[in-house]
Amino acid sequence: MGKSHVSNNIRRLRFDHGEMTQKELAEKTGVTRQTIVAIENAKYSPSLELAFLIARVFNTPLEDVFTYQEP
Amino acid sequence: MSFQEKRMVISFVSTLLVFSIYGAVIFQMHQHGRFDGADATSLLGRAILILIVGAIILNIALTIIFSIVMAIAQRESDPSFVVDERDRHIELRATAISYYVFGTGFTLSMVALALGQPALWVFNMIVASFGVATLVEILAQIYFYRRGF
Repeated sequence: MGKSHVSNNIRRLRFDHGEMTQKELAEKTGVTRQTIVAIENAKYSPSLELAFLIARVFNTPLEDVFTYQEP
Repeated sequence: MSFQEKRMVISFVSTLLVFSIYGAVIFQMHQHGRFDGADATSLLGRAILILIVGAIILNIALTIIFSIVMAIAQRESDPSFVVDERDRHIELRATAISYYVFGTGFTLSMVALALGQPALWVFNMIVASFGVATLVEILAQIYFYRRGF
């Protein structure tokens, strides 16, 4: 619960991809905008499947999107 | 407050309303001696069935009305009906918590039965446990949505 140990670069990647909105990313990955908000704020660690889907939207390897940080 | 949180608040209100009405009706019936006859348990059984059906109907009706109001009148930015993995995780976690609450209530009901309390009141204790567990489940979901999961 609370802050996840998985950090991410989704906000920067969205900016780099034509300032993609959270809603657009949510629609491309089949989740709600609130889930994208929670992931961006490191309040929710997505499943592997969703993580790969997000990476695929940005056409980048998974490790460029998510990074595990030691607690 | 997100769409899901608002939906949970509506669900909380409808659940509280249904169980309050049930409690008031059962109390009135008790006051008028309706549970004094031989058919008391079947009468209570019918009341519980009406409670279950009423709760489902009211919850669905309020959710539909709420969704329409959010989507049209208040121009909700994201009235999504999509249930995704995070929603399911939150629901599962909240359900697990509610099982503990109901289990505690059920155990206390059996203790009351063992101590010689009337079966009718033990039944109502079980119904009350179910009501409290449902409310705790909804509150837990609201908490997880706000706190993060």
